Amino acid sequence: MENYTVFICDDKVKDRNKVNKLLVQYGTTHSCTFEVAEYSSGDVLVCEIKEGQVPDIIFLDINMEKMDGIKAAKEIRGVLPDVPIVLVTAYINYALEGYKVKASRFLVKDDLEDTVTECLDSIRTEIKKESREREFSFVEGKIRLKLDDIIYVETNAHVQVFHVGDFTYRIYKKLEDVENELAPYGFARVHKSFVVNLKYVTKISSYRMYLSTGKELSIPRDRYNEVKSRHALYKGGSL
Amino acid sequence: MMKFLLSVLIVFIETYSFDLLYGLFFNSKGFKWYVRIPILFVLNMAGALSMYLIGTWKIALILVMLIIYCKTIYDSSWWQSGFVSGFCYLYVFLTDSLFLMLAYTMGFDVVQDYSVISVLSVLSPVAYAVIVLCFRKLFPQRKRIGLFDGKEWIPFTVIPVISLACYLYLYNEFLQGGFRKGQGYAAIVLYVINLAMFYILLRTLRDKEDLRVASVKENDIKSRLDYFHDMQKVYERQGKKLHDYKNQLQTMQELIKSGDTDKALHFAEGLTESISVEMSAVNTNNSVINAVLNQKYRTAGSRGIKMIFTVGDLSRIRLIEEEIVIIFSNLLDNAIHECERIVAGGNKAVISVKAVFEDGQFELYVKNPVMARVEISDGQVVTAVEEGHGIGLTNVRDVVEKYDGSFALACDDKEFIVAVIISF
Repeated sequence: MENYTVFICDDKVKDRNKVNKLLVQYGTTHSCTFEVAEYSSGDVLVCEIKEGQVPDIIFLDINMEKMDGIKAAKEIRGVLPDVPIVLVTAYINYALEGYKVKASRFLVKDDLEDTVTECLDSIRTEIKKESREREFSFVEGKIRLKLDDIIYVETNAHVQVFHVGDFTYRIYKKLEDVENELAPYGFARVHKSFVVNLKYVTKISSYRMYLSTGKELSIPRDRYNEVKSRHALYKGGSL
Repeated sequence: MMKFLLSVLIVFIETYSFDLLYGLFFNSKGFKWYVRIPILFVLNMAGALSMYLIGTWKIALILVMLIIYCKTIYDSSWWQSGFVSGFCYLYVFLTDSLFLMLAYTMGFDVVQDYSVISVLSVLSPVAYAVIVLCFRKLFPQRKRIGLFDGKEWIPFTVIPVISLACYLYLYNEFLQGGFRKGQGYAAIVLYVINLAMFYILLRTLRDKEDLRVASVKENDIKSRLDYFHDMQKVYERQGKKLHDYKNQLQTMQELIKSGDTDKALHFAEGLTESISVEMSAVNTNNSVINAVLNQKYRTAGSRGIKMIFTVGDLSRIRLIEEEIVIIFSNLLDNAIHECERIVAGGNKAVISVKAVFEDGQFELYVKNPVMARVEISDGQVVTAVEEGHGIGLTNVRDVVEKYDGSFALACDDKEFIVAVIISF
């Protein structure tokens, strides 16, 4: 059963209890458990995190005295840039502020019973995505890789070259087979010689693809629309 | 040498005409005229010269080359490329044959007299080019052949196919030496009928396009009306609230007068929070997007549908008001409509909306639950529950494609997602 560490930060006890109760309900219906720690102020939460506490998810009220949720989220992002933060508030006009601190979700308190399920489903999917691994039999040996670390795969003669950060690994396999294996995990064949992890694509325009590593690839006209669609769906969370 | 130069001239005129005709139906995939014309010229020239190797089979070769050319250069399907390429070449054949039969009917020696043959060889493609130019003049904006589905094409193929059969018969009569004047006049009549049919085809396509544009405008007007109605409801609600607040302020006054300041303070705090919640609205720093999002948020809320927003600063997106309304209204209306069915079934429904603008790229994602998976093919919903929703998504796609953006749909058993990405 999956277990998640959740921090709930709200200056109102009844609101903390509400989130807690919803987590328990969710856990019962989705076969997972939540280890919950509660905080009544943003500054205490920030201190805990700066001292090394690492949760899987943080529920953070925006309207708190002393340190509001937006300020707390900014401080937390400085220490944990990737932890999912769910901002909770009575006022929907904070949505823009929530985006500025890269909140995973922005939920209105009155709607929590209805929206928390979608929120947790999304966050769990994101967490699972980041931890996906596979073992490959490379020329360099059997190596277990996080799929998110693979930037792209390139054909070089009869060998497929995996570009993983600053490293490269070679495998004797057809690129079609590599494509079929990686397609369910957000990879797309953009060229007869390239399979790319859509996570690293920053822009697609005028038959060219730009990766966050600085690499540019050309996309043939017959693949262009399909690649654009796959990229859009990947970013929308459908792939 | 003269023969070769004449052939080059004829092929060049036909190339120009084909390019104009293709442009009447399709958008080029970014290939400029100085790329298209030389390629088409080479193909036509190769086709013309192939007669010395494969005789009349050159017709099949030219057709195949034209279809591949059209599919490569223009935004078209194989079927559309085949239809229009066939059209192009058929009219070349009909025009050539017509001039030949007319000249024969008028008493010219079209078999032995080289000067007659040369004049006819040039007159025919020139006439063809003039006809195509006339159609271009009549239909300057004609670019939407895709509006026809498979069955709607059938009526427009009947006349050309019958005409082709008739012309082949007449041509055969001509070759056998049994051609009569009356048959020449019949050839003219058939040609005019084909021109009329071509005019009707283009007119029908234009009318369909006008209907589509009208539907977009109607959509836009409906959205604006909905917005005004929504504003009216907001004003009425605020009016009622003001009336309530007046009563509540009077209650606070009584509490303060009676010395119960703690209760009065508690009362004031509750009132302040209630006003803040009531006044809160989604803000993206873009007034048009704010108006649409908030209107849809209230509409959804009134129907028991929740919405989750992830929004960034959208003040710098370079879409005109009408395009913003088309994209946001259509996508959210579709989502709300589907969620209404889910809520009616006694279930919860939540729409997720993410609208952000970063590094010059606008991204919009709308996700909603579904009653059942919908079939998606070629970026379109195949099983649209009502006609209106199919048109709405088509309108959104048109706006996105105008900016060379990405528009994608996906659906599984649980949820439907639309993704839009536009780089500015």
